[in-house]
Amino acid sequence: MLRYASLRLALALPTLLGVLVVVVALLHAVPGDPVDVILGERASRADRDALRAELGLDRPAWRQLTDFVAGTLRGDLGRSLTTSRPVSELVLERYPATFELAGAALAIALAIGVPLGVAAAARPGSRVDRLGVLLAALHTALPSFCLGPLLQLAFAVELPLFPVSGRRGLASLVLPATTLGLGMSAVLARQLRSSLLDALALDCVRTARAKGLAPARVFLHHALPNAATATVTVLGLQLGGLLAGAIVTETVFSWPGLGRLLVQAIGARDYPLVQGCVLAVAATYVAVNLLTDLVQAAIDPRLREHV
Amino acid sequence: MVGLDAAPTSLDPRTASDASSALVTGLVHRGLTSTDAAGEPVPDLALRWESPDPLTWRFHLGEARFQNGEPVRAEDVVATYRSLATPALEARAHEALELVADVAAEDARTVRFTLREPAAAFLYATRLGVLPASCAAGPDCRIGAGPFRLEAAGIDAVRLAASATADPPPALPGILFRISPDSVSRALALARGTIDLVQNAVEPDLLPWLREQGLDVLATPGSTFHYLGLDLRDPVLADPRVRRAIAHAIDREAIVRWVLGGHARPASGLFPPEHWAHTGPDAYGYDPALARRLVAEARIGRPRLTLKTSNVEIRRRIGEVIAAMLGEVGIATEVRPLEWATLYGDVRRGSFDLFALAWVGIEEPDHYHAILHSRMTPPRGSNRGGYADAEVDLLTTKARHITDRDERRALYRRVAEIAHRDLPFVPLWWVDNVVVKNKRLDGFVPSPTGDLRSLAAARWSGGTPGASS
Repeated sequence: MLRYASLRLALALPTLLGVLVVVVALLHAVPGDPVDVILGERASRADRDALRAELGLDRPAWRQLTDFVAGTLRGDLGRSLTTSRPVSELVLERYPATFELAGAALAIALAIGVPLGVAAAARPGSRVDRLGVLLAALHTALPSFCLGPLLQLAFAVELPLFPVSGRRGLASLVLPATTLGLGMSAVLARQLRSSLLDALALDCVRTARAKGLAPARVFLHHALPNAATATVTVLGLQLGGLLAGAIVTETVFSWPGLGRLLVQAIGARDYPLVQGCVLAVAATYVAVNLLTDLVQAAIDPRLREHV
Repeated sequence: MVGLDAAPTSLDPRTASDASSALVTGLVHRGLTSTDAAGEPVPDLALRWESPDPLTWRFHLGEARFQNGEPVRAEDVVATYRSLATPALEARAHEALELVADVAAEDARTVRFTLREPAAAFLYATRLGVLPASCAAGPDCRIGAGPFRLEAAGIDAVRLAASATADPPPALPGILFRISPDSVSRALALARGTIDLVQNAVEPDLLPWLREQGLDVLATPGSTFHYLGLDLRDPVLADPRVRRAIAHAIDREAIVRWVLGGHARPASGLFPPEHWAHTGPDAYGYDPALARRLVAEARIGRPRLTLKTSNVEIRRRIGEVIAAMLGEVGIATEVRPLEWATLYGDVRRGSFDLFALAWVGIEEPDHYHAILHSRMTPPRGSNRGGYADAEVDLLTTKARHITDRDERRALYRRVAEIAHRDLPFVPLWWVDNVVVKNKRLDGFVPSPTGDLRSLAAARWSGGTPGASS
């Protein structure tokens, strides 16, 4: 297991570097110049050149990137072009907000999705099952830029229970986490339902039933673990996405997370900050994937034999 | 509590170039001069000034104190302006300040500036916030002489407190700026009462609803000028008849009424009627028949133009309306909404047929030089369409070295006439400043330039603000 984990970590490095190179190359390829964004229009040519040199933007793009990678290895992510503050500081101050939101959304998704999925699989075609289908359809039809304001209108303006937006205490977490969690719970419930139905048709489950085990025991001890692997994969992917910054939800709820920082950095062509954010996002994604694999290996003995 | 759509990137007036930074630093800092509603320079920290010759300006300071208790002295002014000589700061300072050859204190209350060449825009450049000499040497000086001092700046809020050294002290105990990037969410926060004031950051569609929710919606004529830029190097757009056809094809009144909620005035040129440099010609009227005739006369065939615009919802909608109106008169136009940095990059590179943008906060007509002089094509200036006219070159160069107001007005009137005739850009409208505020916030008067300085005189009537947050 340890060997497997370290192998995965070693493989993560080229992944991170690859992501970084692609993103930065794309960003340099599209029109837009950080110096223009900072100085606006009325600056003179000499001033532009002076600022470009000051910010190190007169070096070729590949050089900027290799300097960034070298800096990163030394633990220095550079400074933001727009605010002049260290990139590491800017990224780190956003992480708590992002973790908090992703964690709360995951909790809501599990709390709603698991019972719903289990109930739906236990009685396919029942009302609970149809509720799951409805929730999944709503999730597809109501993206967070739509669901978010609806929740705000209902539970912050008409019924002033929670703050409209911002990050101030536990109450402000409820609406954004629900916006994200509801959508996740729908996907989770549908995935769990279909995996469970597949698992219930497995030979081992039939054997367990034939042995005369109680239906609840068959369900929990034999079907659920078999269904869990696929569900954990889906959950891991979704959580990775959340930790990478739920950009739309963060914007709607003025949530100061990593996603919004990245969007702002791209808008301002703040290359060092974009690089820092991308690195953080990619690292988080890789870490969540690794965690997912380890959890799967813990659930599924077949995977353990392979690693 | 004031809602902002983006976080300020700098709280030092020397580097505060974006709109949010300018709003916040405008309350924390004061310059030698400021501008009034007509865009005229008026005294601020300087009680008066004189210019014995076009290259010398002498400012006489009044009584004022910085937020750290130190008096504002001539040496602070000198230190502030000298600090601009470092490359990073110099680059971000006003163009006219580059003409400053020397700045010196004549006594504790008198500062003398010596310029390299006469600069009509100098009194606009001296609006720069004055910093205490003790802190001006550093890169991020946040102490000023304004009515509010900076208390805390976080990632989603900036907190100001009334400065004890301000005279008269502001009635509000403080101001909390909340960063709220989504327009719908800002409107909901206003309705809930967690934000008390938002300026020019609510979509016109939401204004009637906000009025129903019991908020004050104030609209005052503004100076932000929206226009269509044209690529004059393009063979189709090089024909003045096509440009006139475009100007006549757009029904400005209808767009203002139906898309902008009535909160704009159809524009005839760069400066609105209340500005001293506003001159004569009326806006091009909506006349699709004439536009069609002009297109037919120009024999341009069936051109297909691209209109680049910002991807902000309302800009995209306006772009689509304009494209439809141009299509009506035989100029097929496709709208391409772009994210801001891409749009701006394309516009500066000259990669466009048409683009829709606005000039914000232009008070000094010397701006004509930057946008119309034939040598001011990017990257040097903002003549993005490649306009060239010998008379405009002469007039805009001459006017920038004259300080006599009447003489300048006459020169700029001629520039405006030529621009009206040649249409290097097609004027659209001047948008209003729209303020949505809590009814209990009294005494806030929107300024045409959109700054928030009148918050220093505002007060609460009854109760605690933002109590429900």
